[in-house]
Amino acid sequence: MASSPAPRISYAQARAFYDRCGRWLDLQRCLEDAAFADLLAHADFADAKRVVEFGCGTGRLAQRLLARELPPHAHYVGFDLSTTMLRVSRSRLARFRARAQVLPLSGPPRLPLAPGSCDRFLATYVLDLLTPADAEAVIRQALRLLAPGGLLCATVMAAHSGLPNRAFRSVWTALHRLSPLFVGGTQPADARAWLGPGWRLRHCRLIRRFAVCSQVLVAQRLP
Amino acid sequence: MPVSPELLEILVCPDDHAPVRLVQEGRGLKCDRCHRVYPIRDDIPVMLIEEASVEADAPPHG
Repeated sequence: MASSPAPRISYAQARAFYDRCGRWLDLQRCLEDAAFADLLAHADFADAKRVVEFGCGTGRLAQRLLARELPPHAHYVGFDLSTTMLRVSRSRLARFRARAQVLPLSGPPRLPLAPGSCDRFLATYVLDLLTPADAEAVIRQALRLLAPGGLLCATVMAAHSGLPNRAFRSVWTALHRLSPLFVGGTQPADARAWLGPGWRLRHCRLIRRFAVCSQVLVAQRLP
Repeated sequence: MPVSPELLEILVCPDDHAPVRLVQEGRGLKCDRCHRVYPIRDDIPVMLIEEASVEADAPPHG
């Protein structure tokens, strides 16, 4: 799928949007949970030692990982640029104490972590609000941070050829053209397009929920 | 709760990816390559370039 030429929101706009609306993000769980279940089924989190999440949002997925999916000794580091998201996710993950850390980001992604410091890199429903260049930059950061054999685990809003999704995307695109902020800056995307050399695609599936379609992608960092 | 040792092990400078070390009695993390000091606020490292100060190395005692 070609990248849309429509404008994307700036980092400052994204921060302001999610500071204002972020606390309601969990209401989208009915649209996201099927994609998360598919992701969890294909990314072997039971073997993970350290998970890094770019755009951790409310920390809902991190909470599930730490409580039910990861081994007890595994650690989690999340990043977000919204003050509201940082507050909500820290509060949600506080019971995991030192196992879970949430740090601020600003502007283009510069993740302050050492090469090879994680074995799972999560980016769920965040790459699709970035410019293609910034999404590719995040994937390059994932390549730097993941140890050989580690997994990039992503979900994005995606396109499907079915009539409900086409109708949904028509409305979504019209709103996005009026103002990207009406739809939180998100646009349907194909995350495979952002994978450069150094990856082996391990799993890619479209998950439909009502008229909304998500792409679930798991790619392995090659040695 | 202070910054966890597990996190300190993997934190690097966001600009040049050099290691950082605790300074200012645990209130900052310094990159010895670019001399930026990143603040630690409420036990959370703020690894943002725009939040960092630049601290030259102390002159040798003589």
